[in-house]
Amino acid sequence: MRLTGLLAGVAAILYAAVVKAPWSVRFTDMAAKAGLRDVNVSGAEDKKKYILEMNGSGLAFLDYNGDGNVDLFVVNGTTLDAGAGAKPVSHLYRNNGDGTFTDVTEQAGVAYSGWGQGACAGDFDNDGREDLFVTYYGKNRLYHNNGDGTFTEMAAQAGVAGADGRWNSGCAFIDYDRDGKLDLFVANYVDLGPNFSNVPNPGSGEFCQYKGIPIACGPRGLPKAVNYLYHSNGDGTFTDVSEKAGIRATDGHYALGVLTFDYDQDGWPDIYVACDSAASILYHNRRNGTFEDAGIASGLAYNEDGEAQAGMGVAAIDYDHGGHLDVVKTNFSDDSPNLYHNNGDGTFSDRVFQAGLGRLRNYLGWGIVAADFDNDGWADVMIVNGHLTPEIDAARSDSTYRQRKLLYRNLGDGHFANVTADAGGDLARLHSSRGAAAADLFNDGRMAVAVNELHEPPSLLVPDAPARNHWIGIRLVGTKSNRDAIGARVEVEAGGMRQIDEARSGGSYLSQNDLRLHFGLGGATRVERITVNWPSGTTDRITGIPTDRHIVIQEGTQNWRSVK
Amino acid sequence: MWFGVRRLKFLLVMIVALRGGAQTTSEDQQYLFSVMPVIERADWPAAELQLLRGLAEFPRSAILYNALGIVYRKEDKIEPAAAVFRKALDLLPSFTAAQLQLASLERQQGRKKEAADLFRAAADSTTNFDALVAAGLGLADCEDYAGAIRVLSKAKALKPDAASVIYNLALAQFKAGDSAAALLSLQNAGSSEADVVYLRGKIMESAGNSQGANEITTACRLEAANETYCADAAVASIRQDNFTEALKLTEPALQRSPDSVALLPIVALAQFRLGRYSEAIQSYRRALEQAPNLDAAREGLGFLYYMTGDLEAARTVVEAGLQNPSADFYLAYVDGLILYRLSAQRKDQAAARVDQAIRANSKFAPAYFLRGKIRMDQGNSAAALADFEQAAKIDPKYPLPYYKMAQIYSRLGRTGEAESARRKFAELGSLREEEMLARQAQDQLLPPRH
Repeated sequence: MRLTGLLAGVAAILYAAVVKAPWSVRFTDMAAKAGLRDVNVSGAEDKKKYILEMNGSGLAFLDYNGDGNVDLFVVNGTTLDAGAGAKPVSHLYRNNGDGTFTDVTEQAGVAYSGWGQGACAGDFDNDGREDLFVTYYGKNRLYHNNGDGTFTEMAAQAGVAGADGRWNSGCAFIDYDRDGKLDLFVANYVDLGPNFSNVPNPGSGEFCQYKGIPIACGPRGLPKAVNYLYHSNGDGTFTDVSEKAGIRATDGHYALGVLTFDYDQDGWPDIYVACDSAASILYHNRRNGTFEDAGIASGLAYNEDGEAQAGMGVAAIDYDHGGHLDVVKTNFSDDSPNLYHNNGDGTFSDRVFQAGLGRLRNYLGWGIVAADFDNDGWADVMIVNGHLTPEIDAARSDSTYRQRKLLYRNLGDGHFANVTADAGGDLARLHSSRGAAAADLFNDGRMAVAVNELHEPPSLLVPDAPARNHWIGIRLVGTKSNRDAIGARVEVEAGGMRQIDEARSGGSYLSQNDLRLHFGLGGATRVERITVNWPSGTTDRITGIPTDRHIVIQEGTQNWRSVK
Repeated sequence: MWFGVRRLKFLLVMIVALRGGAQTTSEDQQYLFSVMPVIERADWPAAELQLLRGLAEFPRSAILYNALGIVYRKEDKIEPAAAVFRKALDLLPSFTAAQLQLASLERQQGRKKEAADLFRAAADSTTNFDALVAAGLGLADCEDYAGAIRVLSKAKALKPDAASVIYNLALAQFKAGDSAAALLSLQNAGSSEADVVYLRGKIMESAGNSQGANEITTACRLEAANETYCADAAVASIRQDNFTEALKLTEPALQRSPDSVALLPIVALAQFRLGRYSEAIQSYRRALEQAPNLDAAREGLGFLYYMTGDLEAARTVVEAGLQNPSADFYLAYVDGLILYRLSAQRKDQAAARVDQAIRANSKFAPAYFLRGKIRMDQGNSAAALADFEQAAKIDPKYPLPYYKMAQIYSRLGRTGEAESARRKFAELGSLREEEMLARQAQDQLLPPRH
């Protein structure tokens, strides 16, 4: 007992040394060098007539060709007057594994021009290849991965295209009924009406200005849109079960970012939807194919006081190693993000101020990534920011159109420290950022972040050097469960720490993180145990895994293998 | 703002004295005229000496005593002045000029009743226009608005177009609570005179007429350097959420008086609402440098630091203000907000501050809401519910207490009450924090409407 206590004390000292060490991760924007040069289009650059031009788009990391290097799909918008000439398209960039990317948009068959919004990945037909769903203002695209480096668009055939005029935003594949087949949730933002007929002119009403400056109207004052849940029929098609599943019975609307996670740890995946200027929605899975909105009851609908927020992006993080997934969400300027602490009893408490994440209120946050950038075992938070339109700069307010990104280091004691200034100059460069997602691009434990920048090429923020600490990457392969194991909960025990996360489709702001799970391990050179609770109900436990590598765990094998 | 008294020059008062029915001899009048050049030079010691010589020669001259009293006042010899005015009135009880002078002295000494009696007596004993105006203004100054209206109406009957009389009569009527009569009086007043337009605007505003704000803005435009008009015009613009206009209106006056404590808190509030937080902080700080006890500036600065997340700076500013025993309740409330947000360990301190705010103002619903939150965090659901219910009772349109009530009821398993509170919350609707808090702060920081 005394020896255990002594060891714990030594571990605490060693651990404290890790935490107190200066922040060491410097990010460099490698986008241009890596070949990510295509400029985002989102309506008019200087003067925006409709809110549709302001929200920008997300992006998705997925390994589309199965070569072990995570590729990048950057969603693109278009212009209101897109007439003759080259039309902007979303871009698929193949990761060459050497720090460069090749634009394979055309050859992969994903060149399409429209008001692209978000993207989420998932192997919806369980064929072992990652498919891609892209939301649009207009009809969505479901890209089925043919396994030969190309995709086939089959949204209409699959029944998930939606209809013209719908403003689809965030999305996520989710096996909500745990039948082993991925279903699809699609959030919707605003009903703009045919030819924007529901939208007044900029400056024409209460919700058409910012600090006295006339800007495009909305979302408040504009008709609400409704969310969609598509149930997989298991044959490559889906059925719209939104009404039947209770998706429409909600307090929230103006939906954007989507986070799927099992907040109450009952083994059934729930859906959290960040809503703009309205109650955010927590679709609690009732385990019978239906959901109920538990947003208000859980404390996730509003801030701590019950004030509405302009929710944009959202991420799950067990920031205090409490064994429950907490939630971070980005909001508008003049407000704070949320850090909803999961109390473990179905309720959350917003601890954003106590944790030190609420001090900077000039930033309008969009994408949010919870990732352990320094691999110390405590997931950090990166928030990418930018205001609605360059027009707001005329207000001369302290909140500007282009803003820097913010990086918060998890101190491991329930607090975060803003380490932006220590994380390299490229993080502080001013952009109007929207979607963001993280991935281990070089399979060396460095979590890079791609950011969709409004009217600019994307940023690709890559740590300059692998972190000094240890790490492990985990790819789950479902057999009874859906192939991507979306919804599986993983618990990693190493170095006296117990960390959790879930395999997840969608997230952040209309974006997709690396489907593989990444855990920093601090000084631990060995993972004592990994427990995987699969959506099927199966549990796998594996022990004694060496660190600093990506491994694959296949459902039901109680085993693992390294990825070369 | 009363005006007219300053227009009555010293000489005029003297002439009033001469015309005021005083029984005087031509000799003492001649003597007084001989002293006039010395008085006009403001050579008060020489004038005093000459008047004392004159009184030695004409010991029963009321006009010389009156003149000596005026000179004494100029020399700040208040008691001697009062004594010689009384002497003049002993000699001539209905001597209007002496009555006015003594009344003015009494007013200056804070003896309003005695002053008002003398002003009334002066007005009753004269038909002189200037004397009536002086008496009317004096009565208004003594807050005898009914008397002022009577006397100024008498003056207006003598000179119906006299702008100053119209203005002051209207102001007295307004002060007496008769806005309709005041507006009627101003009907024939010039529309290009800033003070008239301003008064009309204030009267209309107090009567709930939205045109009042336009009149006040016009007054500010007519006299762009006037701090009062332009501060009020800016306030009106802020109330209409036109913060940019508020800044434009105050710009010339602020250029002329960059440290104006009347303007700076208003300018800061407009900057704050426009999101120009750094500028607003500077403006509030400048105001506080000029007037450290200016609650509006301290509350605004503290709240702004709070809103922008600099809780330590907010605390420093607010708690410095709370050293002042007469600090406004809102300062204590803001300190409660800061302490609550600053750290979980400071909730007892936060509760104490909110208690202080509630003791000072038991009608401010957000204070009960804040205390309810603290009690909820402390696990005292019953006390928290009581506070939320009180907040909702004080302000039935305040949605947030219902949100927290729903949470508590839900956690206590009182599902019916939880649902009812949730419905009420949904019915009232929730704004964003920035909108709700900033508006709440604005309501506190702006001067009262009437």
